[in-house]
Amino acid sequence: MGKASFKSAFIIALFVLACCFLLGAARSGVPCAYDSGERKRKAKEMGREVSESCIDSLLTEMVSSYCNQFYSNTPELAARRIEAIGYQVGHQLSERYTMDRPRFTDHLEAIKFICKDFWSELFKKQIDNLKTNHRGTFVLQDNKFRWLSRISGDPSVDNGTQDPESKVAQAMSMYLYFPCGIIRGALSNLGIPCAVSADISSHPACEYYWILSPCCFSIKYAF
Amino acid sequence: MIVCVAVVGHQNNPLYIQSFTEADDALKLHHIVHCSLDVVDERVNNPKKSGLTLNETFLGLLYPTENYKVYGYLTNTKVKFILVTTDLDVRDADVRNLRYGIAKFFRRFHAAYVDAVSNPFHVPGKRITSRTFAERVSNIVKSFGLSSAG
Repeated sequence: MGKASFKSAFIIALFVLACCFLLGAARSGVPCAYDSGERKRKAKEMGREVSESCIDSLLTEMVSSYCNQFYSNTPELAARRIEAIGYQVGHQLSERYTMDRPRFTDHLEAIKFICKDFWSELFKKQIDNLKTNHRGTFVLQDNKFRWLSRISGDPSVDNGTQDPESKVAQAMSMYLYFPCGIIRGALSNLGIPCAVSADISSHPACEYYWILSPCCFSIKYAF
Repeated sequence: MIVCVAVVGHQNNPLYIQSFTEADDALKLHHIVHCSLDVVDERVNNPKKSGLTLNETFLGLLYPTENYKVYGYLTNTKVKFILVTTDLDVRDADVRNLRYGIAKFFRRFHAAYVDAVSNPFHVPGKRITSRTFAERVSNIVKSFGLSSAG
């Protein structure tokens, strides 16, 4: 028991380390505004860059190892594990990305930070649409979610028993627990405990809807 | 001279506290840090009264005592950094100077803190036990002492 739990903790830590390194690497070399020109140039030269495909492969590998190896019979447990890794990553990244900012005054400002700066750091683009009902629910819509844009359904495994589109959606939803966890971790570190869920908005008219990969994240919190 | 630095979590739980004096006055310094937490709370809850309108992370001078001055810094994630120093005759303009003032110290300290909590083996909300962090903090404190003296 002790050995097994240590092993799983180690694997989680390994994934967190890898994600944080890949997502935060470019940032750690960024010079501060008050640095001298010489140091700024030096830091720019040393600024590390990471290939985008690395993080894609890491996410794919993480989902497949949790779904097919560790918790192959209990997908809910695998989902929770992946979400927990995302939580830790989001927790740490929000610490780093809010470093040079004035403090947030209210929840909306923190959500806006997630939509603009946090999202640009992660995906080099901002959230396309932010909706709220002013009662504690926010819906963040990304019309081209980067982590889904390279995923496609495998038509060869169709066995006719299930609608292929729903199967693809099911497989893809596994990949969305990680970004959900990131958002939840970042917000809870900023003082907003919340629940985050994601869904892929499918267009029935478009057969290959996953190419567009629009994605909605709903954030719910209690006042 | 900086005699004590502390990191306090968002539930006012101590995450890291280190004094830099030879004398056996750690308990006294911890008491000063503890007292300053109320001042931080007051500043944050009544920003108008204290003239803190910009929601800056650097809170400035929290309160002076007979022998020490206490400065505070509050991050976006509600983590407080407290600094106790024996330099009593520091002007406010110097304190906020980003090149050599205490604001600069806090920025460097914040960077060290962020690197320390980004360790995947660090449990959020627990004490920071990293030796690298302790070393880095003592380096920052030492270099700050040099630059402010010279």
